[in-house]
Order: sequence, then structure tokens, then C-alpha cells
Amino acid sequence: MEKLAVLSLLLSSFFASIIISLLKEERVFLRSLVNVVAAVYKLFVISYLIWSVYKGITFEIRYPIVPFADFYLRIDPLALLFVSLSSFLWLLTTIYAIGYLEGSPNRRRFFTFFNLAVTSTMGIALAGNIFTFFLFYELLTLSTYPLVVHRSTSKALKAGGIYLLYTILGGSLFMLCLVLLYVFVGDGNFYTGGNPKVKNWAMENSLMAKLLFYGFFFAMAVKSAVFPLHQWLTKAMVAPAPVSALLHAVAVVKAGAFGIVRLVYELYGVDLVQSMNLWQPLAYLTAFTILFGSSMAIFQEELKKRLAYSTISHISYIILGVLLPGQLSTMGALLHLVNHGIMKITLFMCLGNYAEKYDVHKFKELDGVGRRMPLTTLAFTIASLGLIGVPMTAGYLTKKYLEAGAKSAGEEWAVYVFYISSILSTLYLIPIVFKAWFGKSKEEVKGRKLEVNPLMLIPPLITAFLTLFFGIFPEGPISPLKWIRYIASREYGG
Amino acid sequence: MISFDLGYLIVLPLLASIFSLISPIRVYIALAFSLLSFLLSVYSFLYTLRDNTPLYQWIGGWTPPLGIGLRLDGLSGFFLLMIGIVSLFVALYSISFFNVEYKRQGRFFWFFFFFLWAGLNAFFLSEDLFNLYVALEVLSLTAVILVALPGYKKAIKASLNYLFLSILASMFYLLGIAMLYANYGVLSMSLLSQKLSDTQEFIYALFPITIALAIKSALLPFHFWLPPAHSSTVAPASALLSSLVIKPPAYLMLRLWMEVLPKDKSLEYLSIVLSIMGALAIFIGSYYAIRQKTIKRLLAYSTVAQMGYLFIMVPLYYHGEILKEAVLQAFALQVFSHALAKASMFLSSGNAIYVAKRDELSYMPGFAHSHPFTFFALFFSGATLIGLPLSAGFVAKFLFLELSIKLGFFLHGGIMLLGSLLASLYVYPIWKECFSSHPTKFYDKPIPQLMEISAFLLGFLAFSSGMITGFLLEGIARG
Amino acid sequence: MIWFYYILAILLVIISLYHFIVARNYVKRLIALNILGSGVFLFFITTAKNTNTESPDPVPHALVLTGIVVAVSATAIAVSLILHLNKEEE
Repeated sequence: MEKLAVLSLLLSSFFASIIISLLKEERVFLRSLVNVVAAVYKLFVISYLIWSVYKGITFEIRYPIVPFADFYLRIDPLALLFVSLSSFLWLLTTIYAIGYLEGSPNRRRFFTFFNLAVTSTMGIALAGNIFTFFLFYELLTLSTYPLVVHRSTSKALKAGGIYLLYTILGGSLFMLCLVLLYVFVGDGNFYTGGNPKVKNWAMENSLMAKLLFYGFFFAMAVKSAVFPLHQWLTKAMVAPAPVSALLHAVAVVKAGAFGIVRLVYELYGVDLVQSMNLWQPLAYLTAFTILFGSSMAIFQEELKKRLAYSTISHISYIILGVLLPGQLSTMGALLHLVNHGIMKITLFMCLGNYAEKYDVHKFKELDGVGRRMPLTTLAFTIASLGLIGVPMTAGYLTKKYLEAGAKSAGEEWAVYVFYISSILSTLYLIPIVFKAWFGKSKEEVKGRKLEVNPLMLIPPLITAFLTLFFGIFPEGPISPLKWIRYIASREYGG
Repeated sequence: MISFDLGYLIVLPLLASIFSLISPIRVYIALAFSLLSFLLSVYSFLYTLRDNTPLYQWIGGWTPPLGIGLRLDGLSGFFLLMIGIVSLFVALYSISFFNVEYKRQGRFFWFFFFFLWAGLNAFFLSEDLFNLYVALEVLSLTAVILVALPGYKKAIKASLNYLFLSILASMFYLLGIAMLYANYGVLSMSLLSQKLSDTQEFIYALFPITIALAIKSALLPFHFWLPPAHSSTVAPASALLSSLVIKPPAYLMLRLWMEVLPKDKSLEYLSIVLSIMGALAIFIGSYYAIRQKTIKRLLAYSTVAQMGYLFIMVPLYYHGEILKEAVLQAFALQVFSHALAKASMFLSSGNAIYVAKRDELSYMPGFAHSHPFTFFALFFSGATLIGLPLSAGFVAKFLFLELSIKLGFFLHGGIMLLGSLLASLYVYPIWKECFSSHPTKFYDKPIPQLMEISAFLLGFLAFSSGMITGFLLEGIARG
Repeated sequence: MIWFYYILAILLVIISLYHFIVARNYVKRLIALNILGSGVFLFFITTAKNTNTESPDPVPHALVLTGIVVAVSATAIAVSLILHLNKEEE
């Protein structure tokens, strides 16, 4: 029963993908139905899983797929967190995408690969060893490529090419590290608190262990857009809004960050990372990325690019939180994993609304669009405040934990980094809000029919609402905070 | 499982080739016999999984050294399966293909198709060096005719060159066998391996045999016949050539180095030379593949590069006694993944040429828009060639890498990784063209369903078989 | 004494190989290949001589016969291809 539940998480989107590939282009209703059913089904399964894990049942599927490693899927609290986040946001994005792409060509192809990408993300979350993780990681790249080049313009094709180049290079590095790991250690399974075999081996071979750690880190840093491997993300903004929203603000980059979470906590283990001081140089790099992303965002005329740089910055918040020693910063990191996803997706969806309705892509085109699309802009405003870290938003919570974590680890410089980045975020987000609400527009048109259709409006409103809800009621029953506290304590041996 | 007469694996396709000459029921014969042969191959594969002992059969009851022996072991079973899968899908494709194009040639295609299948099966069932020679000859001659099938000058020239080099290689091979026989008096591989450990004179025999096999498997610098040959003929024939015909000589090289040859200092140098040639094949083949403007030549050069992987590993075969199963598995899987992927790509290229009437990459239809299944085929088979997970190509490369590191051949492993990167450089232009939306690229011509589906299924199989490699390779592990 | 035949065989192979590589004409190259084949066959047959027993070893005979058959088929194919090539050119 349990095995079936785990498998069905993966297979639901996989079958959805196949069914959609076989449906003719015109069967819009059926296709949307398949999409939504698959997404909703997943949420049901996840609820069941959360309830079961709460009662102490574990789920795992394992079989030797290749002579040297197992295909290993497992439900643990961390997996569950990522899976819930992805599935929930996926449902919203699916609804949004159906609305956004209405009338555009090649939707069959789009949703085929869309669902394949979901499958890959599920696999990444559920992977119980680094080999299975890698399988789905690359599959994610493969399934998102057609989504990036969907528009087929020469810009899109170029962006796709760069995307592939970066990820294949990262993938090769990953594969090399994977082989080395399996040759030297023989086991790549994830254990709470770290893999004991890895730890033992690292004691004897500290140089090799260090190199391997950095290798894995950089392989995953490509996908997490850490400086200097961040270029592909800004170029990939040429994809349609739902793709940018989900994939490049949430799924793909978060997969990289999630990988680093697994690497640090469940492959090497916190104590190993501390004792070998693996984290410090990387912490400086991610701190630099935070500031770099925020600074570059200020100067971007194109709105999506501005958000892309913001993502580059914020993913590094998560990674820095992971790297900084201590339970508090871990909690901050995981919190940001969730919250940033919710907030950034709101922003991207709102931008997509502006682009679709009024062809607004650049900052100067924003004039007064807020008056014409008040609901969208409201969502955008809330999410922006969240990202900056204004109290009563989820973002504030994250900042609190990250800064507290930095302090308790004795790395006060990190507090300043977060602080400065908040200021910079204000500088690139608030002008947008202002211009949208108060900018002078050429044509003053008022009316209610000016907002986008409900499919594109409701998802960002929901996520904006959640931004507030999680900020105001952090210890509430549905908030992720409690879950994350539990996860963090487990990794530290609690 | 019931044991069966291994000869059927050879006789069945032969019968098919004869019956296919009967014109009215040609297509049905082709379909029926393809399915039958495929099922028999699958059965053979499953049979090898039952326990550890290989199945030996002596034709007519004559035992060695006079008799012809057939052997079904884990490796042969695996390769028989591979041949069955690729041939079945190529057959399905061809049924449709010769209905819409090259109708005149379609009359004779099947005869040679099944002859080729018979030869391939015979090769992998053979036990002694001479039987292998006969099988190789059948393969080469049939392949030569398949290259000449279209009938225009380019094809015939390519075919003649291929034929000449093939005959040359065969003669050298025969010379080598003669030398071996002169010294040792046996031709069966197992007996030879015992005798060779005694004396040293085999080295003279080794040179002509190695050169012969190098020519036949298009190892640098003897690779120049391959691009014209594989690109000048019809798509199904190209698929068979690049995925199947080219593999047996490389396999024989593997068997020689692992089972027959003793460990000797002087051979060390030869193995290094071979691996250097393999590395060069990867680089030069990929380089030329990247530069090609036509699809088929690109794929042909890619074959040259991919064959390089098999040869760069020669020192591993040689030193790999301890890890013998692993080496065999890696080799077999690389051959398997390349065969399925390359066949799928060639079949898809056939689709491209059918729609666009031209071979150039820039004229390739925007498949991602107009014909999604062909795009998927190219997508999955391309990913397999590059070695992306979940494909069998990935697992093969992983196995090779693991072996390189375990045995200390770090440079080889690094070159292999580089090879994957290079492969992505020549696969990517194909993908890019699938997405381009230039107006003339939305060719509306519908591709016959069977052609699209068979190419797609083959590519998809190549990609998804990565998930079941444990099962596939089990027979090899057992011996 | 037997060495004479071996050397002759090797000589045939070398000469025909040279001509195969150098000649431009397809027919010449085909003939060169045939002579090369003859050289190999000669080599093989020579191994059939057993100095101690009366009757020669039958195995190389069988193998060479097979080889000749293969060579002849290959030559036939080559000839037909060359002919076809010539027809095309007109």
C-alpha cells in the first residue's frame, strides 16, 4: 500500500504526460482535465502520506537498477516538505498555465514536458540516495529544455542552448563525483545526520572527501544559479511566464538547493562539514552571490530579468543558511525554501499577467498598470513586501531565523549580508510597486473587465494570501514552521 | 525452460529471406518472420537467465576440431536480444518505408535484411574462429549490397570502397588464422587460450587479425570508409549498418583480448596503441560530426566516435581479469545503448528526408512543431547517445568510468566524459533544428504512422532501458 | 623446403597489397585483392603439410575452400558493382 503511494506520486504525472502527448492538440478541455486531476491527485496522496508519517510509518522503494547502485525512493520529513511544496505550487501553476497559454500553439508539447518535469521534481524530492537523485536531476534538465525553447524564437533557442550547456557541464561533473563516491565509498544513501560510510571514509581521506564535496556542490550550484554559474537563469527568462514562474523560480533552482541540503545534512552530515570546515569558503561565495544578485537586479530594465537576479540572490540565502552551522540557520534555510517559492511564484505570475494583458515587459512600461489591474498588483505588492522581509509576512520570519542563526553561529558578517540584501531588495522591488500604482499612464481607462481571466488571477492571489498567512500565524496548524523545526532538529541529532 | 536447437536462430531468418522473394505476400512474410525471429531471440535471452551454464551444440554431432560449434551464453543471449529488438523495429519501419519510397529496391531489401539477421545471429552463436570468419563475411557482403541498394553513383562508389576494404580485412583475418593454425593446430577459442599461454609465436598472427578487425570496425585510421557507406544508403539500411553490422568485429576484439590472449609485456604496447586510436576516434569522429551539415553524415561520424569508446577500453579488457564481469557488462551495455539509439536516429533521419526531400540539417523539418513523435524519437535517442540518465547509455558510461577508476586508468575515464560532452555538441544542432520555426520548416506532409512510431519506440526503449539494466545484464554476470 | 611456399605466399600478399593501395582503377584493385587472396590461401594450404605423416591435414583444405568461395562471391559482387558504375557514368 505504502509503496504504491510513493510510486503513484511519480507515476501520476508521468502517465499524465503520456496521455497528453497522445491527445490531439485541439482537445483542450480533456488536456486541462488530465493536468488538474493529476495535480489534485498528488495533493491527496501527499495528505495521506503526511498523516501516515505522522503516525510513524515509513515508506520506501528500493531495487537494484544497475549493478552498482539501487533505485531508492523514500519518504522522509524533508522529502515530504519538498514534495508538498512542489505539488501545491504545481497545482496553482497548472491552473495558471492553462489560462496563460490559452489560444497559443503547441500546448500539447508544452504540457507533455511540463508533466515530465513534475515527475522529475517528485523523483528528486523522494530520492533516497544520491544516485537516484542524479537520475531525476538530469531528467529535470531534459524535460525543461523544450519548455525553455517553447516559443522557438531565435532568442529562445539560444537561451535553450546555453541552458543545456551549463546543465550538461554540471551534469558531467556530478557524474564524475558520483562515480568517485561509489568507487571509494560504495554507498550513496541519504541518512539523517549523514551517511556513516561516507564519514568513515572522509576521516581517512580528507583531501579526496573535500574535493568530492566541492565537486558535488558546484555541480548542484549550476542549477542553483550560484555565482559565477548563474548566467543561464537570466537568459532562460525568455520562456513563457508559467515556466519562469514554476521552473526557474521554484522547481529547477530549488532542486539544486535541495540537493545541497541533502549533500550537507544527509550525505556528509553536519558534524563532518563542520569539522572539515567545508562550509566557510562556500559561505563567502554564496554571500557574494546574495549581494551580487540583489545589486544587479536594481539595474535591470526588463522585469523578468530583474526577478531572475532576485532569484539568484534568494537561492543563495537558502544555501548560506544551509552552510552556516546551527539549527536556527537550517530552519531559516528551509523556511526560505518554502517561502521564497511561494513569494517568487506570485511575482512571476503577476508579471505574466502584465505581459499578457498589456504587453508590459519593461520597467518603463509599467505606468499605472496597477490601477487597471488592482488585484494582480495587490498580490505583487504583498509578495514584494514578503521578499524584502517586512514584518507580518512570511519573509520576515525567514529573515529572523537566518539572522538569528548567523548570530548564534558566530558569523555576524552574515547578518549584515542579509540586512544589506533586504535594502537592495527594497530598491529593486518597491519602484515597481510604486510605478504600477502611482505611475502616470497615457490612457486612463477604468473598469473591472481589465483584469486578466480568473485562471491567471486566482493562483497569485492564493500565494499572496499565504505569504501573509504564514507571516501572521507562524505557529499555526498549517504553517510549515513546525514541520521545519522538526526536520532541523533531526539533522542535528535531536 | 525448454532447450531448443540453436540452429533455428539462423535458419529462421534464412528461410524468411528466401520466402521474401515471393512477391505478392512479401510484406506479410517480412512481418511474420520478423516477429518470429524477434520472439525466438527474446526466448534465447530469457533462456540464458535460467542458470549459469552456457548451452553448447555441435552441428551434425561432429565434435571439435572438425565440427562447427554453437554456443549460447550470457553474452550471446544479450546480443541476440539486441539484434532482435533493433531488427524488429527496423523491419516495422521498412514495411512502411518501402511502401512510400524506393519501391523498386523494396523488392530485394527483405532478402538481404533477413540474410543480415541470420549472419548476425550466427556470429554471436559461434564458438570457433573460423565460424566467426564465415559469419563476418556474410555480414560484410550483405552490408555491402545494402549500401548499394539505392542505386545511384554515390551509393555504389561507397559500396565498392566498403567492399574492397572488407575483402582486404577478411584476407588479413584469414592470414592471421592460418598463422595461428600453423603454430597451434586449433581454432576453437577456448582451446587456443590454453595453448597460447605456452609459446610466443602468436604475436605474428595477432597483427593481421587486429588490423583486420580494426578495418572492419572502422577504427582510426581505417575509418574513412564508414561515413560514405553509412550515409549514402536508405535510412533503414543505414540504421542496420551503424547499429548492428559494425559491432561484431569490435566484439571479437574484446573476446580476443579477454579470453584468448595471454598477459604479455609486448602486448601491453599494442593495447596502448589501440586505446590511443580509440581516443582519437572519439575526438576526431566527434569533431567531424559537429562540422557536418547533413544529418546522415553527422550520424555516421558519430558512430565512428562511439566505436572509439569500445577501443579506448582495450587496456581495461586486458587487465580486467579480476573484474571480468564488470568489463563485459560495460562493453555490452555500451553496444546495446548505441545500437538502439543510433538506429532510432537513423530511422528518424529517414523521416526527416521523407518530409523535406533533402538531407541538410538546415532543411530539417521543425519536428517539435509538426511531428512530435519524431521529435521525441530524436530527443530520447540523442539523450542516450550523450549518456544522460535514465538512458542505458548513461549506465554504460557510468560502468566504464567506475572501471577506469578502479583499475587506475584515470585518463581513459576523463576522455570518456569528454566524449559525452562532445556528443552533446553534435546532438544539440539536431534538437535545435527540431524547434526552429522558419516558415518552410513547417512541412505539412504527414509521415506514415508506422515509420514515426517505430523510430520513436526504439528511441524510447534506448532511453528507458536504463532502468532495467540490472535485469538485462544479469545473464552476462552469470557467464 | 616448405619455407619457400610460405615466403612466396607472403610475397604475393605484399605485392598485391602495394598495388591495391596504389592503383586507381577499380578492376586493377579487384585483381590485386584476388591475388592477395591467393597468397593467403597458399599460406594456409602450406600449413596442411605434415612432415611426419603421409596424408596432409584436411582442415586447412576445408577452410581454404570456404575462403575461395567467399572470395569468388565477393568478386562477383564487386564486378557487378563496377559494371553498374560504368553504366551510370554513361
